[in-house]
Order: sequence, then C-alpha cells, then structure tokens
Amino acid sequence: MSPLRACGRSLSSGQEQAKTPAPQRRINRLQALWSRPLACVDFRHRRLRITAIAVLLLFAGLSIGAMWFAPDYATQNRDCIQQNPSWKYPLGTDELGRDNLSRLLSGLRLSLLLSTLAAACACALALLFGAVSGLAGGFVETILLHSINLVESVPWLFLFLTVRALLPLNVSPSASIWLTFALLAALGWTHAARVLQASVREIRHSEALVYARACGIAGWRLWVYQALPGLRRVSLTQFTILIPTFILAEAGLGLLGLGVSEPLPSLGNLLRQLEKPELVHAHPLVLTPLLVLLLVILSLRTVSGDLEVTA
Amino acid sequence: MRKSTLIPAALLTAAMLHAGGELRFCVRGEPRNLHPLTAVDDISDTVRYLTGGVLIRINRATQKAGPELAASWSVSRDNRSVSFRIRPGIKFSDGTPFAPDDVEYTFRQLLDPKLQAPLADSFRVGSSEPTFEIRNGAIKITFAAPVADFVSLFDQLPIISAHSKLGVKAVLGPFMIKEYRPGVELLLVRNPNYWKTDVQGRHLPYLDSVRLPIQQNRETELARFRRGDVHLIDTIDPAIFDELARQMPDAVRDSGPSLDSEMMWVNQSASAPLPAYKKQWFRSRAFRVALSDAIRRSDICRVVYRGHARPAYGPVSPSNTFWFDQKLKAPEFNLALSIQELAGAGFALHDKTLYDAAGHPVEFSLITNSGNQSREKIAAMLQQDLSAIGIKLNLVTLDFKSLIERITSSYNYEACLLGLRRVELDPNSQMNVWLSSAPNHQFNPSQKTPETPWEAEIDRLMRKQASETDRNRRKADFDRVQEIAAGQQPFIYLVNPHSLSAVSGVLKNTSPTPLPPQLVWNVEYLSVQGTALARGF
Repeated sequence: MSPLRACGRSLSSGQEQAKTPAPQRRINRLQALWSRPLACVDFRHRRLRITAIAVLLLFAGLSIGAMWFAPDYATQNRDCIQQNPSWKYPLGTDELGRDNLSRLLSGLRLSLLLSTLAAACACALALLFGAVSGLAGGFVETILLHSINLVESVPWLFLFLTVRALLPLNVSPSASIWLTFALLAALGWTHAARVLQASVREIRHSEALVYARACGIAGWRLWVYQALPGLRRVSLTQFTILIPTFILAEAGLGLLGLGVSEPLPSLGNLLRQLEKPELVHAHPLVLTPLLVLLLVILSLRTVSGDLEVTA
Repeated sequence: MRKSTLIPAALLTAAMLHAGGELRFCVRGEPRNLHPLTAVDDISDTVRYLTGGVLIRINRATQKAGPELAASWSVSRDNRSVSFRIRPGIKFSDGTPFAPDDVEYTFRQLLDPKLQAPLADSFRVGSSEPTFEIRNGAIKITFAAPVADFVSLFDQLPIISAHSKLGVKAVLGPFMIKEYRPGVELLLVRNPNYWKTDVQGRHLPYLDSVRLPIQQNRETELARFRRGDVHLIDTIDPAIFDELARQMPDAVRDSGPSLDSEMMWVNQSASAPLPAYKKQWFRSRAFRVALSDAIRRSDICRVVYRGHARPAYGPVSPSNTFWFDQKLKAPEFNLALSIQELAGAGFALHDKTLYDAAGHPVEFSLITNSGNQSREKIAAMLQQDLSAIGIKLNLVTLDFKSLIERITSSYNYEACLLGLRRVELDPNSQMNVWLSSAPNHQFNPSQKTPETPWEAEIDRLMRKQASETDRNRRKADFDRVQEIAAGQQPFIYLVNPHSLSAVSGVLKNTSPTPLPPQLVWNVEYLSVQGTALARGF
C-alpha cells in the first residue's frame, strides 16, 4: 500500500468517524467487543464475577461489622430528625431521628442472613419434592406436580395477608422477621422444585446411571453416590436465584407495611421512605438503601447467572 | 343613543352575575351514591352539601345554626316536636315551587325502610311514625319520643321535591348535577333558581360550575394544583404542606386542630381471648393513666405532624368551641408520675422491665392498619416512650379488614391505635361510642349492663344530655363525661391533627374551617376570577 493511499484511507476514515454520530460509534464499539475472541469475553466475565463476589463480601463484612461500630438502629433522637450527614450520623437520620447508617447495615445484615436461610430451606423443600417426584414417576409424580401447581396458583400476597392475620399478635420484632422469611420460604420453593424434578428425571434416564447400574451399583448407593452429585450444581444455582428473590419479596412486603415489625430495620421498610417524593427531593440520601439493594441483587444475579451457565 | 348606553350596561350586569367561572377540585374516589338521602361516604356528602337545600344550616365558621329554607324554627320544650316557617317564593332547580308538603314528603321518603337512609335512625324514635301538621306556610313535625339534637340533624337533611317530574334530581341547593362520568369526573352547574342573594342583591352562587375530577393519587392531585388545573386541596399531608409552604407560601392554609383525633386503647372486653393477668392490667385505671402519662404527645406533634397537630385532651377537639370542656387539664408527659401510678397498682420496675404483682413481665401488642405511615410512626414512638417505663410493646400492622374483624368481632387483640374522624359537633354523634351497650364502645363493647361504675355514670349522663332541651345543661353533662374520660383514660387520646389545605390565588372569598366541607362550606360566595367579588357573608 502506498503511503499516499494509506494517508487517503486514514483521512477518509477520520472523516467518516467525524461524520458518524456518537450513538452509532458506541454501537460499533460494542459490536467490535462482541467479535473479540471468546477468551477475552471469558476474562471479562470472570472479572465481573469477582467484582460481584467482592461487592457481596464487602456488604456482608460491613453489615456484620455494624454490630460493633453502628449497633444502635432503634433509638429515636427526636431532636435530630432528618439530619444531613455528619460525623455522628454519616448517612444522616430518618424521620424519627434514628441513625440511617446503622439501620441500613443492620437491615442489610438481616435481609442477607435470613434470605440465605430461607433460600436454603426452600431449596431443601424443592429438592425433596423434586427428587421424590422425579424418582418415583407415574402416579406419585402426577400428584406432586399437581400439588406444586396448586401452591403456585395461590395468590401469594393474599395468602401471606391471611396467614399473617391468623398468627398470634404478640410476637417480638425479631420473631416477626423470622416469620416473614419462613413464610417466604414456605411459598417460594415451587419453581426450584420444578427445575430439580426435571433434572432428576434426566439423571434417571442418563447413560451415567445406566453405566453405574451395569457396574453393579444399586439401591440407595446408586442415588446417593451417583445421582445426587449431579443435582448439586442445579441446587446451588436455584439457591443463589432464590436469595435475591426473597430479598425483593421482603422489600415488597415492607413497602406494603406488612414485613418486619418496628423497630427492626430491613431493606423493605427502609425503602418505604421512597414513598414520599418530597423527602427524596429534600434528602437524596434516602436513596442509599435502594442503591445498596440494586448492587446486592445485581451481584447475586451475576453469581447465580454464572453458576447457571456452568451448570 | 339610548340603545348604545343600554347594551354595555346589560353586558356589565350579565358579567357581574356570571363572573364566577368554574371551580375545580379533586375527589378521591367514586361517590357511592348520588341519592341525597342516602349519602354515606365523604364524596357523596360533599355532593349533597353542594346540591342539597336544607331547612337549617350550621355556619362552619361560627359553628352556630342559622335559618336556610326555613325562615325560622322552634323546638318544643319536651324535644318531641319542631315547627318550621318556610321561606316563601323558593323554587326547585326545575322551577317546581317549594312548599311545606315537600318537607313532609322528604321525611316519609327518609323513614321508608326500603331506602335504608343512614340519617333515618336518628329520627326513628318511639314506636310510631312522626305526624305532620301543615298550616299557613309552616310545618310542625311531632315525634313519638324526644329527638336529640334537631339542629345538626336538619343540617344534614336535604329537602327533595314531592311534585317535580325530575324527582330527586330537582334540588334546592346552589348547584345541580349536570354530568357524572364514572372514573372521570362529576360536573355540577349553578342552580338557576337558587334563592339566595348577597348583601348587594346579586344572585348566588357566583360560580357557574363546579367540576370534581376523580383522582385517587395525591401526587397527581398536587401536580394538578401546582399547574393550576385544580383550585384547592384539603387534608394535605404535613410534609407536603411544608413543601408547598416553601414553594407557594400564599396558597397554604393551616386552619388549626381538626375534629379528628388519633388515639389508642387497651382491650377491656371480658370476652377477649387474653390471659386473665393481662385483662387485669387493662382494666386497671392506674395502668391506663400511667400509659397516658408516659407518652410524649408533643413529640408526636413535632415529629410526625411537623408541628401541625395539637396534643389531644379528650373526645372533643378544641376546635369544637362550644362542646370542648375548657376545664380539662392538658395532657402532660410525666414519667415520674407514671411510675408512681404503676407502683401504686402493684407493678415494679426491675432492670428496665416492668413486672406486675404476680411477676409477669409487662409486654403487649399494639395493632394498627398497614399503609398509614403517620400512624406507623406514632406506633414506633409509643414503643420507645413505653419502654421508658419498662413496657415492651410489640407493633403489628394488619390490613384494615383483619384489624376491624379483631376489634369488632373476635376481640382478639391487646391494644389498638386508630384515628377517629368526626364530622359532627354535637355530643349525640358520640352516643354510639360512649354508651356501654353500644357496639362501637371499642374498649369494651356491647355490655348488657355497665361493668364499671364510671361507665354507668357516663351512660346516665349521655342519656340525660340527649333528652335535655337546654343547651347549657347538656354541656354541663357532657363536660362531666369528658372529665370522667380524662380520669379513666379508656381511650388514650394522642393528637388532634390540624386541618391543612391549599387554595389557589385565583379562588376568591375562601374561608377554610376545620369542619367539613372545610374549603367549600361557603361555596355560594366563591368565585374564580382576577378580581374578587365583595364578601357577602
């Protein structure tokens, strides 16, 4: 290529670049990114996953550390309502004069811990149903699938309202939060059960199991040592999917005023401050719980999505 | 020449007569019923107020009754009969003349069991129907037994026509319904035959029409007010009120304490499924008074209502100027007195926990309805206040239906926090709350005989004032009821929220009051225009 031609090309490409509108340039760059080798995408994906895990660890560490550096989430300092950030209150105070930072971190701790526990319980229930129906097949499978359909067809919000109304009133705030997540676990296992039931059915007819049988492995040993390890990945994926689902469900209930009782904070009842636009306008820091919730959910989704791809 | 001077004069007169324009304000739901005698909700009540003509009207500013369709009235000494002299020459909106027999027809319709009119129960006294005597433009109505509080009852009774072909659509009020589009709006237009004139002899109302867009979302309502689409908003949230006050200082109006109150009570019902020791706490006067003394009401006013509320004294708001007992002591936070009261009743405070004489730690739940942020904040404040006297309060928010079921049917609750909305001034409107046999005697409803001497005394006083004709003697009786309630604290009144509203600068002659309809009670004199018409009231 002659230098003149090269110069002409570079000139024309520079002119083209100048003519191309900015949004189109961004699209071109993205297309170029997609066309890069797979290894590069994998590297970026890994970096994203590491970032997500780091974010989760950071929030978990902060929320546990808050038990020592910002433990008082309940005391109402009524002479300091809706204060702007200060050394004493780094995120300001809420409408009752309570420390926003302490409430945010304590709420995050409770939401993360209990949604994890609820997800574990829901997964165990789903595994039980999925495994029994997948293994037994026939009539048992039909009955169990119909029972899953039945649970799924119940409008969960109304069921939650009814169960809540029937429960004894004199439960402490800490019991109320356990109760909220226990109810979420009891209602939120069905989707995971369907996935696990399909996986069990697949494993039952897999070549690996046929081979194991041919090798003389039978009875409970066949299922415990050969089939269950195959379900580990799927269960783990369902578990990580359920954690953000339960956090969001609690947040939704909190917005309706039906979640965790005062004075315990949770991400749900902290988000209730956003119901007042005038408050958001005057104190933009009330958006912090929303930002934290978004980061936590995105991080959890990234981790669970990654597991899903690997599975 | 003569013609040219007459035409501008006629145009000017027409402009003066029809210079009112259109008033627009939002209603927060559909009216359940547009029949004037069966209005049950706030919106139907507002429409009834704007369209219905009544014999007597209570002036919302002075809280005194004045003649309206009746030129004068008199009540017999035994409270059994009332006579009205009807104002002559009045016509319904369709031109049908108004006569005393319309009053009789209205009563017969009202008392018809098929109609199920809520106001009818107040007039159903004794075993027989009332009798009517019409003579020389006057009507005398005689009831089988004394009727309490004739005046406020007639303020709520719109007269309907016995002869009009339009039936209940023919009205005597300043406006008549022109169009109702469900989910969209209600349009009222001026009644061409409205009888009232202002001091300068001009026909009222000044407004041509009133448009009521149906708008449930308060944010949208506020945005429409800011844009000038609607001219007024009532019952504004204190936070929004303060924000509006910063942006539009001339638009906001704080009319002082409303008739409403926020209150809590503990369940004293004998049939409540509660442990016996808890029932014993709740039935103890000292326990209830100690709860009341430990509550920082001024903090609730300042923190929850941003100063737009006043600590509540009792069942009557201070804005009810005649019936409020001025001798009542203002509720004061007094922790030492509270602990002293509890100690006197056998309670003891150890390690920040209160124990009763039998050694039970004092812990109970407080239910309130979910979704009401102000009430939830009050509950959280009560929780902290009561923890100072060692009481552990567990807060439970329930959906409204579940809450009502618990307080009216199963009685399966320990304490409740709710608001009370009052629209009437007269203590007779509180009969259903204070009589021990009443189902709305919430702290211990539907008693066969009064279970405590003080409830028996309240029953006696409420019945006595209801049969009195002398207003001052009635007040003395009801003052005593207020004093007993303050001493026993069956309802622990917390605050009276202020009546907060916003009025556009183009709306003239407004005079907000705490009594409903707060902003449009003098609708005849309101006008929407650049220059205000003279005040004629």
